[in-house]
Amino acid sequence: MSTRDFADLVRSAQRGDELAFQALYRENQPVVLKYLTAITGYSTAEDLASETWVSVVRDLRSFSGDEPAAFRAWVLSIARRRWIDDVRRRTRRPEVLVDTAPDTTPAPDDASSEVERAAGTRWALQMLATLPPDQAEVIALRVIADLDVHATAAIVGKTPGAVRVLAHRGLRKLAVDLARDVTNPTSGTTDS
Amino acid sequence: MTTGEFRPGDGGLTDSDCEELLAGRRPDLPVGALLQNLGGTIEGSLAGETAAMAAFRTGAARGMVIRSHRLSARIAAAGIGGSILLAGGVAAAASGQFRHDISHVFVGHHHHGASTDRPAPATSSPTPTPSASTHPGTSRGKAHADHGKGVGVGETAAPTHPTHPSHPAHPATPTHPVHPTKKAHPTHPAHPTKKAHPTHPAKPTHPVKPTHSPKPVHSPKPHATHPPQSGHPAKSK
Repeated sequence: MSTRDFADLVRSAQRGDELAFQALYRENQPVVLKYLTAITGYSTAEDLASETWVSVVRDLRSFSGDEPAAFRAWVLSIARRRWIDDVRRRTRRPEVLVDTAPDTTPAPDDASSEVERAAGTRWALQMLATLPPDQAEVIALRVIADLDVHATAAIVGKTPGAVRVLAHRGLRKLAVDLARDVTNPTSGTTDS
Repeated sequence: MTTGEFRPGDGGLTDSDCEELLAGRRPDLPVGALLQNLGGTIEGSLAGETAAMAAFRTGAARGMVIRSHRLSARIAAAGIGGSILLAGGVAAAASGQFRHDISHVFVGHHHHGASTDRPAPATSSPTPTPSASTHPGTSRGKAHADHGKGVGVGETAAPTHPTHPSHPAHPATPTHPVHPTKKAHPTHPAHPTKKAHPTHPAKPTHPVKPTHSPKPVHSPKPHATHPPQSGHPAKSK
């Protein structure tokens, strides 16, 4: 899709064209869901993705940009705010507090989990979710959303150098975890 | 985490390796394979499309509502502005009325204030003022009590003429063109600040001309003990 076509698509969606909005949704929703899954886990990602699109609908008129990457970054920044709001909500209600850290619990070691692993993407997301949230977030934005270091830094509010450091730390930790899985396949994705 | 992670050997990755992994150029490494899997699609990732489209339709409808709200807000603003203008107009009208009233009051006050300088405009004075003391009907007793500091004959004759026939009109009317302090009107021969002596009704410096005053009050009415003597000081001092 060219920049002009994408700009027309966004303008049409802003004017209320359902098909245009549907195209934008289908283009970006997988990225949003994977990003949220990487930093929150499956249990919360779908709900946050729904909240994200509600916010996108509400604020769609305020978006100004012609590049698909710009729109993707904008949607992901909204998703990030929904995630932060969710963390704050959980913090304000400690009686129903769920661990706000990424879903580091190992996937059920049953047949379905093995199928997901085999599926590849979910397994990769689960592995990514084992990282500290800032590291998982940076890697998700760099790899899943295909954003450069500057766009990623703008979303997470850090410097490009800090983003690089976080990404490198996360990749190294993943490498260590994968090596451990290889040496001890029955240990699961995390130590538990 | 420790600083050891920054060592090139940690995880078997150098910084350069990390950058190449992020760029998708090292699928041969285990981490590279993992990152490639991240690029896949989660099954059922578009399951929320129906809800998202419903939200979009609702948002579009809300946008129309918002526009209508904006229109309503504009109408309300116009109404408020009109009300303000109307109130301003009413206030202006009221102020104009006030100005009229004030000018009327001012004129009345001017008359009233002028009446303080005049001997006896009491018939048109709305409220009793010190000038009322110069009214023949109210000051004559005082005039008598002051032992006659020289008002006029009329005041001494007031008891027989409660209403001054030479002051039928409004005091502010041109019937009194001359300020009494500057020039005494023939019908107001006595200075208001000077009290009339009961026995000396006529002021010596302003002799009453019998032929000029149509009133019998100001006419030199002979006193029982002091007959009128024009040109002669009547002060008892």
